[in-house]
Amino acid sequence: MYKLMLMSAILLLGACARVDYVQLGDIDQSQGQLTPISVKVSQFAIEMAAVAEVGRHVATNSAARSQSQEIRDLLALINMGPRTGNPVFDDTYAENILDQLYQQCPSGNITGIRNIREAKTYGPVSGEIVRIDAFCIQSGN
Amino acid sequence: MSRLIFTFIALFSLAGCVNLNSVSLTQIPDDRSNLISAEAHDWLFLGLTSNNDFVDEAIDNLKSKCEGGKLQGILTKHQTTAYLLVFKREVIASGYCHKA
Amino acid sequence: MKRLILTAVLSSLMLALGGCTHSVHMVNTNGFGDVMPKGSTTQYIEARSEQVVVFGFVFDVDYVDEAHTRLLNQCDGNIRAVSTQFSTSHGFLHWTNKILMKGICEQPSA
Repeated sequence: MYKLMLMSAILLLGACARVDYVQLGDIDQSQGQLTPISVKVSQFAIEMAAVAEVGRHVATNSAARSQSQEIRDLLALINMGPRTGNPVFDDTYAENILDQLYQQCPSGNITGIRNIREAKTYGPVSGEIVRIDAFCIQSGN
Repeated sequence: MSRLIFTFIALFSLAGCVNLNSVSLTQIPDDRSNLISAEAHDWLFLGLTSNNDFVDEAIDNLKSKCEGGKLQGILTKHQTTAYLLVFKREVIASGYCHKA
Repeated sequence: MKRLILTAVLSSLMLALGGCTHSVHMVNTNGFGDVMPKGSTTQYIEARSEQVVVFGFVFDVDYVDEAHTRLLNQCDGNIRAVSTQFSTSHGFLHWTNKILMKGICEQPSA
């Protein structure tokens, strides 16, 4: 129990932010006033193999430890492939970013686009985020 | 048996596995008559390097193919090919050059 | 035997929770520079392509060009507001790399 509490405390204290990818586009300040707009979509993610690994460490008897290890190995086999951050359960969460950008700037006159792939992580659990920050040009006419 | 293993190792070290790191695309023009492309790469032993100059090289190569023109619809791929102990990093870019 | 059953049950549970995972590596947007010209027709277009990788053996990334060509084939005019998404769906000893390209096709109305 003490081990579990210690693990939870470490995980909660270890909340971190992670950045994987940033790209900045052209910034045009000549056409009019710039209004910041932002679209952020996120998806809950969990590294199940890491959870099994934590289970292996907190397990009190050797049988449970061995079981956790088997589960961890099995999960590693069934979830093979390159990953950026923790795996998510739905890969369509970022597909409608374009529509959301247009909703915030119907003229479509957008500049200074920052494409950011980041995450808030809490040990094996994280919120995997795709964020687009930009400026909408208010041309006045 | 050892000869077979050696052949397998030789084959796999020659045929590297490719990993796509990133891809991006910019606004595509309606005039797509002049497609140009450029590539730059470097080789790393054990993945160790002290610079990323090959990226600038790719951009310079692309620019030099469209001097005085406007480059649009640029598709950029950054990929890494892993051979045995050696890595090839590549930036491949293509786009449409429009000269007035 | 009891241990084996327990492992199988726990694995199935974890599989249900952890199976079919994905990873979105990056999303890139570009080409919002100008106001849409008046009198032009616009239409959302999108193109997808995939590459199945078994045991990590993959020798090209041609599926990127495939998606690009499919996008171009859908529009003769300008393609603005282009977004590119690169993701991977994980699987048992294999995975699927995916490219999604979206854009707005802009053509002068007849």
